[in-house]
Amino acid sequence: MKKWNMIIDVAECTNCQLCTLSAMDEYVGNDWPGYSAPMPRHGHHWIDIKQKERGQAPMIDIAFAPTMCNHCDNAPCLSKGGDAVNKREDGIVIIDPVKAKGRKDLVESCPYGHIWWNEELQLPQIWTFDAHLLDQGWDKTRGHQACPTGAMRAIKVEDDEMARMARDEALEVMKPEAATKPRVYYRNLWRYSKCFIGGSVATEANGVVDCVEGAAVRLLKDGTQVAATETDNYGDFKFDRLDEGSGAYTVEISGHGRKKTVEAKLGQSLSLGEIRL
Amino acid sequence: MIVSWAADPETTSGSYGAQEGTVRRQWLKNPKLGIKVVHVDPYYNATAQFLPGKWFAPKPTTSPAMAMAIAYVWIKEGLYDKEYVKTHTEGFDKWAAYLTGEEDGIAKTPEWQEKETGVPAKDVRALAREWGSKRVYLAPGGWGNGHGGACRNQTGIQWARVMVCLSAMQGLGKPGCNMGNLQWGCPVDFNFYFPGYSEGGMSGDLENTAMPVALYQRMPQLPTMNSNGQMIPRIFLPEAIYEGKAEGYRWVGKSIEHQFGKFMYPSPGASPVKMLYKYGGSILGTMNNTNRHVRMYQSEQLEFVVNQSIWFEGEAKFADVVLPACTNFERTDISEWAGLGGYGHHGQQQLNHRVIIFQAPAIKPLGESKSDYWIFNEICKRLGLSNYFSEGINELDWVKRLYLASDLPKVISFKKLLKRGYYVVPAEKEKLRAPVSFRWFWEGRKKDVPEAQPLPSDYMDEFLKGLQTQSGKLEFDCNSLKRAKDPERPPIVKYEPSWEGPHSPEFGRYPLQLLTPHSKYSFHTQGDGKSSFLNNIADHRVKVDGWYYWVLRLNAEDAKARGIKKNDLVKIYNDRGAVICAALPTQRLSRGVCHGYESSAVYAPMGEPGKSVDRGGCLNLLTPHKTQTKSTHSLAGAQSIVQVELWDGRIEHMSETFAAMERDATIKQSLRDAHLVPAK
Ligand code: SF4
Ligand code: SF4
Repeated sequence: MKKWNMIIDVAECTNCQLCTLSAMDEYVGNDWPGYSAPMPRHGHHWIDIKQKERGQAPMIDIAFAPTMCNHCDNAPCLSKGGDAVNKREDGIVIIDPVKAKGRKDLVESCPYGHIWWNEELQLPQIWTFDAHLLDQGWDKTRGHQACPTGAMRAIKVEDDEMARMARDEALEVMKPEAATKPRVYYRNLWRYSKCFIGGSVATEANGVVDCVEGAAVRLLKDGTQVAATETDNYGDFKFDRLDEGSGAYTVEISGHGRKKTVEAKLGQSLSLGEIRL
Repeated sequence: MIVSWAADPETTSGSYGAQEGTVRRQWLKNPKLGIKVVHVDPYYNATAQFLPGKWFAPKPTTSPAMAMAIAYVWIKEGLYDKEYVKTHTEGFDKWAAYLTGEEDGIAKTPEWQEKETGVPAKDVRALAREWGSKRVYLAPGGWGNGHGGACRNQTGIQWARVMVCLSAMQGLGKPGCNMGNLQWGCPVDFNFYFPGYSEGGMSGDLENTAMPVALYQRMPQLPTMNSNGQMIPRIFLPEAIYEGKAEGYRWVGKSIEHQFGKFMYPSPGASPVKMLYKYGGSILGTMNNTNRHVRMYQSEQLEFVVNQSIWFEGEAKFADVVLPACTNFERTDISEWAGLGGYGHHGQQQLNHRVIIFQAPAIKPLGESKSDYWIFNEICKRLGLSNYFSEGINELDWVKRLYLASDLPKVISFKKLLKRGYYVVPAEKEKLRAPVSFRWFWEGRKKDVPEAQPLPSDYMDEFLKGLQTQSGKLEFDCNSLKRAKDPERPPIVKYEPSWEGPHSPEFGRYPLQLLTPHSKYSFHTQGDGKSSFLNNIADHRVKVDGWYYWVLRLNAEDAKARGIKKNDLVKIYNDRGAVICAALPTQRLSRGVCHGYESSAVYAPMGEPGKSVDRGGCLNLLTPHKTQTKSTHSLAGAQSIVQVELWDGRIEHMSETFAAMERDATIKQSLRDAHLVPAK
């Protein structure tokens, strides 16, 4: 049985918000009986773009991670919801817009914060994977259709196939520790979840400071090398995909017959700025 | 390599092009192509976010100095196309003498520019070396070949000129050396005619629209525009009204010389303006130093104001009479997306497909609103001009007339267009596609790209031979400016710091440079406010205590030094006005720079207009209205100096415009009290 999944490429999301706007267009003021009651005009983010700014000016980058109900297979909202929450055969989770009335308790059950409380209707609500459209023959979601970069793609495949893709293409899910078996997968999630140590190597000769290209840079943790790279033509180097809050590192730079060691403590991404050899 | 310089098409949609260029820029991310991108912009903009590369962050208005230092390195290290400079350009030696310091004793070195721009000399040297040894596309402005960007601040003319100088040194038109950022230049069919938005439509105005280029010949019509010819650019309207006089220059793109044509108000023999019929409410959000416009609306000299508007927003509240207009979803029309007509010929080449739409009304006009055509026609009826205005036909007839004037009848019947609702113009056949820009110039051929301009009279030599300049070449030493004898625009481009910026005497009081570029999620005032979905986007507006505030970005350390945290309400102000925004501390700006989009649709003074803070987000209340130079129309409002502080909740803030007004009133009163008449 083929089931729906979402694959999101964090490296391609531009924060254009077309997916969020198309979700509002689809649900605000529109009742889809059996699927969802209208989304309030303001205050709900059924699709929500999270962002992460890394580093310090001018060595920075920014990643956007669209989030939504993950349509988990092992969903706490399902076990708590009773007959108010259903899992469809195609993997989609639906909070019944009639039976779930008054079930504010469900909001807390989602580890992703993606059940939205509709005060006016007294209803817990989620993004329904546009199930009402898929049931009418749509082959993709509105967000997928609107996405200009292909960063958001809905695909319908067998679970085995999805598992194989996730493995082969190093796809990840949000909060794997919650063990909810999400159906929303991320490519290049490290751009959002990991951090870097970087810097710019320069040297002075005859009173002129210049960038050092090709300096060897090593990253050490507890005296052991964990990564090595070279500076580019701007003297820049960057060690990426490090864990946030992973503590003390040593950066060792050698070039022009000189050596320099810099100690760094990693909480969030860190630009060491200019380093003079 | 692509050098993106004050170019942010991911924010500005190129211009009018939505996300159409994005998919093409995405090609640059293919590592197999090996095309590097670097970004020069005081703000780490959305395009830099999408296309990672080295970021250079010059202080706002200073980047012409950085560009000059790049040229300096090229000269010193021989990293430019000397042959091209010899054969395709004029006056290089004179500019080179300025750069090397022969002319004024100051060499424009990377170290020299560092003091101005804050960009390390070493980085500029490394960029110059990389650029000088690669084939490079330079991408200035939203389209990648102009339009917006640093053009719109005080040193914009210098910036535009120096960008061309850099391109000239590297051989503009040579394979791999050109201007662009993959926004402009899609091979759509340029021969298929459909009029664009600046082509005048139905007013018969041959003088002030682009109608004479193509539409009038295909669709003759009666002239219904105001015929007296007196014109005041919006930016000078306040002075014209409350001081009774204004002068300056208008933007006219017909030839180089048109820019020197002065306008005067009142124009000789013309009546002073007593009434304003305004369409829409965008001025306060989109013009500069707009407390002047607030004052204008309250001026006794302006006796009557009508505002015909879809939304009761912006300045609509200042009108004596509001005529509610319906939206384009509630009336009949026909249009082509990104079809600009004369303002940007062939603007559709930003799109992947040309799409022409028949706009059937989706619903009937809501409330008391009516279509614009209906409103104008009713007024004309009362003036006995209905037949003259409407030419006896209705809205759908006009749509049909425009259809008939276009090339559509060759490919689709009117009935079918109405039924289907749209027509996608097929792409040009491969062998008929327009050639690369400026390749003809590099190869020394006649111009062969489909551009209407320059018109034949603008060629010095032969039609289509050479550029529009007097020499037909790229001019480092500009002949047209030698004629103009303008101290602010010398024949060679020189660096002159901004008259509003770190060199200003007021910089002590207003130590932050504010950038006010076009907005990412709304277009001008369209889409903003009015409880729209855009209010839900945290990068657009943020809800604090029940009100949706405009977002102000500022460097994280600058914010910390002021005790400002994310979503704190801050007061951003200078002598011109004060606006309350929601703060967003960020590393996307260097220290000393803040950033908020211009063009808020909401104007919400918390007390008396002109004397209180605005919490609508009209940052253009703070921007300068002075032109870049005295001798030409040249907006300079994209950068201003300001102070930002945590808002203490006080709502009074006296703008200099209103302070001056009260001073004048006091003087007049005391003269009256003493029974004196003011001296002429
Ligand atoms: S993301 Fe939350 S709401 Fe959606 S299925 Fe998982 S637990 Fe339930
Ligand atoms: S539409 Fe695509 S690129 Fe835009 S915000 Fe959504 S996922 Fe990102």
